[in-house]
This record gives sequence, C-alpha cells and structure tokens, in this order.
Amino acid sequence: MTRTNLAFAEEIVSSSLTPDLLGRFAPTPYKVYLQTSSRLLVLMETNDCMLISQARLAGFRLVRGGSTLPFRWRLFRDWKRPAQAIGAITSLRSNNCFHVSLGCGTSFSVDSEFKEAFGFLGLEVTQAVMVRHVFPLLSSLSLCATYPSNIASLAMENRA
Amino acid sequence: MIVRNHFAEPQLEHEAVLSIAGKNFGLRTNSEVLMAVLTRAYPREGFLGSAFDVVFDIRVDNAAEKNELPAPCFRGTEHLVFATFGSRTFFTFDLLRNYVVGVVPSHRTHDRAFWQRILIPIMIGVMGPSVGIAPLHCACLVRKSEGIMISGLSGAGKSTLSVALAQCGFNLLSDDWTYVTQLNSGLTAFGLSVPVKLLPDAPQFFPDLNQFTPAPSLNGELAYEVNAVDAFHVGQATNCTPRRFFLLQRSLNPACTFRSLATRDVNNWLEQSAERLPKRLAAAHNRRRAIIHEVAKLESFVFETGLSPHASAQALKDFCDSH
Repeated sequence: MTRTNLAFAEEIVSSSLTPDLLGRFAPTPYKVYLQTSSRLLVLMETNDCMLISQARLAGFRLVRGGSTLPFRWRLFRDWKRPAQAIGAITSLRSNNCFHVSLGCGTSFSVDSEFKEAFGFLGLEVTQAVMVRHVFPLLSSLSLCATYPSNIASLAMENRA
Repeated sequence: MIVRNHFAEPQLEHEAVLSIAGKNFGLRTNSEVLMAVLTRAYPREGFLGSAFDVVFDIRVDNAAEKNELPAPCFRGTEHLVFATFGSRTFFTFDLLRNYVVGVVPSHRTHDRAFWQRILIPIMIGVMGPSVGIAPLHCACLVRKSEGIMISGLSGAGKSTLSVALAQCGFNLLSDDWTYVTQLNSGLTAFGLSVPVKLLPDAPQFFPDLNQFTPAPSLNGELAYEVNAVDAFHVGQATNCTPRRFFLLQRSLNPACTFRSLATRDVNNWLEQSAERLPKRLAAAHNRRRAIIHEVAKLESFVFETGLSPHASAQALKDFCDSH
C-alpha cells in the first residue's frame, strides 16, 4: 500500500459518519475458498452464510486457499429489498466486464481485469435460483474472465 | 425463466457526443431514436477532441415487452455501481474506466422524463467524482451572472426558498443537487434542469401548486415535482460562476440573521455530506476534495431564518445586494 493510499485509508476510517447510500461499505464477514466444477479457485465473501451451503449444492467444493491468486466473489444479500418475482435474466458485456441483472436489486458484474465479481442479491433470489442460475453463471463468467478463449462456450442463449 | 443475453450482439452503430455538466459523454447506441432524444436534450458544446470524459453505451432491447418503470434500486461496491429498474432496465457505472453500460426496452427510448429526470442525474451523481465533477447537495440560484449556493440539512427548506428566490428575480439553476467543476474559466456550477421537489404543504406558500397533485418521488417521499419554469413562470439558468455559499438553518424565531462561516467549516460540511468512496477510487476522491476546497473558499454565511419563504428570499436578496 502506498503512502497516499494509507493516508486515504485512515481518512476513510475517520469519515465513517459520511453517507453510504449505495451500500459500498456493507460488511461481508463470511469468507470461504471454493473450487468450481471447472477447477477455478474462488474466494467468496458474503454476509449470508446460507450461500456457502448453496454453493456446495451447485457443485462447488470447499477448499483451502492455495498459492494461486483466487477469483474474488463479493456477494451481498440485500435484506432490505422487498421480495419480487424474478421475471428475466438480462446480460450485457463491456470491454472488461460481464453484467447480469435478475431484477430489481439483484445484479452482478464480473470484472476480468481485477478478477472480481460483485453482486447484490435481493430476497427473491431463492436457493433454487442460486443453484440453478446464479452460481453456474458466476462460475462460467469468471472462467471466461480468466481464460477469454472460453467466451464462445457461454451457454446462455436467448429464450422465453 | 426468460433470458435476454446481449453478450454476443453486434457493436452499437450510432455514435454521438453529449455535453453534460461541462463534460463530454461519448454515446453509443443501437437506437437512432434514443440518439436523437439524448442529443436534443444534451447537445454537443465545443467538443473538438476525440477522448471522452465518459463512454456511455446503451443497448435498446426491441424484444422486451412494454411495462411500467419499476421502482429503482441503486447499489455499489468498489468501482462498480448498479442501477436496476426491474430486470429489463439496468445500468452499470464503472468509476475506474469512466464507462457506463446499460440496456433498456425500446419503449423507454422515447421516455424523456426517464432520461432527463432520473438516469442522467443519477449518472452525473455517480460518475461525477471520477471525471472532476463534485455533486453537491445544494440549491443554486443566479442573479446578475453570479451564483449563490444554498446548502442545509434535508427538510431545512432549500427547495421552498429556491422557488421563492426565483419568484423574486433569481434564475433557478437547481433546488437540490448542483454539479460543480473546475473549468479553465474557473469554478463553474451546473444544474440539470430537473423538476423542483416541494413537500405537500408547499401550496400554502405557492398557490400555483394547487393545479398539480403530489405523487411519490424517487425516494418514496410524497411531493410535488414540477417544472419550475412552467409552474411558477420563473427564469432558469444552466450554469454559473458561484460567488457565495449559504448554510440554511431554520429557526423558531420570526427573524433572520446572517453570520460568517469559516472556510474550514464549509469544507467539513460539504465533505461530510458527500458519499463515501472506497480506497480504489482515491483519485476520484481527491478530485472531488479539490473542488470542495475551492467551493469552501467562497464568501460563506450561515443564514438562519424563521420567516416565511418569500420574506426569507427578500432578506437574502437584500443581503446579496448590500454585500
């Protein structure tokens, strides 16, 4: 950490009373290492411990952190969002990121440059949705972000 | 479940430059209609270069069915901020790469209120610090080409005082959020011509409001959101050079007072009202801090009033004239 960043970090601590309207500083205290079915090492950080068991149901293995730099997933369960039915999954791609929305308050982005995925999950995202849709998508997008040659294999087709 | 995957769709073929709050946005879209709507609202001003401050990619989904705009949700972490309006309208703001990407259903392209009242103000508010704009929670009014900024706690009466000032000869730039940047010509404040927001008790001061009906605003609060020019026949400004800063405080005493405010106090007030930024956005934080520092150097006063909005506005006008 550079001197400038250290000074900035101290300032952030001292300015803990300033607004955080976007929930950027909401804590994600649970941290586990996972290995996806395509053997990608992931460090998942979340505030919802149920996501750990759901990740295992999605076929991921709990592992120890190794020497490999993991892909970081920060998944925040947004308890304040009212539950709404998920009507559709909409996805977009930009130069460095994949973006996916599942509805109001539920969206995530996978950043290939930083090897990170950030997501906010509304209450409507049930275990079934996590296991069938969110974790497989996160896994395949993280793999594409790590190995861009896999992009063609993205198994997400338009369907009604 | 319906899946709308835009990963592999072709490049966005329509390109234009939008000038918003003194910055240049490179718009790319697949919709000619949307390009026309946005270029009319934010015409290019004096941009001759090729590097945009922000690249703004909007994909219009012609297959999505028509629906009402759902309540928005804004969330952010590290350098990314998400704005979702249901599942068919969503935007991601990348504050490190100065890049905005989004998708909207085709019927939203014509919805000027969505773009001008909601999406563009959100975009400037979120992306501002990354491109050298400080979004400040202040009203701003202009008279004789000089701007006054009025800050205060929520509920202090900034909007009410702003409309009253506009009715006594000031041009209204903003009643809520003012976007300040440092141009070659100096500190410049911009407004985005969004409607003024007045609480349900406002008709007692502004009878013109009786022709309107209050409705839930973006934050769920019941309010009158009206175009001030149309509703009150007042003048509007789009930018100005700010000269004075007032911190508005309500008082139970039926009088008004002005007292000087130190640079350090203005600086602290504005810093504490600004959204916290993560470490990764240290450069954006520093840009915003530099602008706030310049705003804090303006001649500043605490304006404490227990008078009616119009009497307060007259007192403020007299004070500005005599200083």
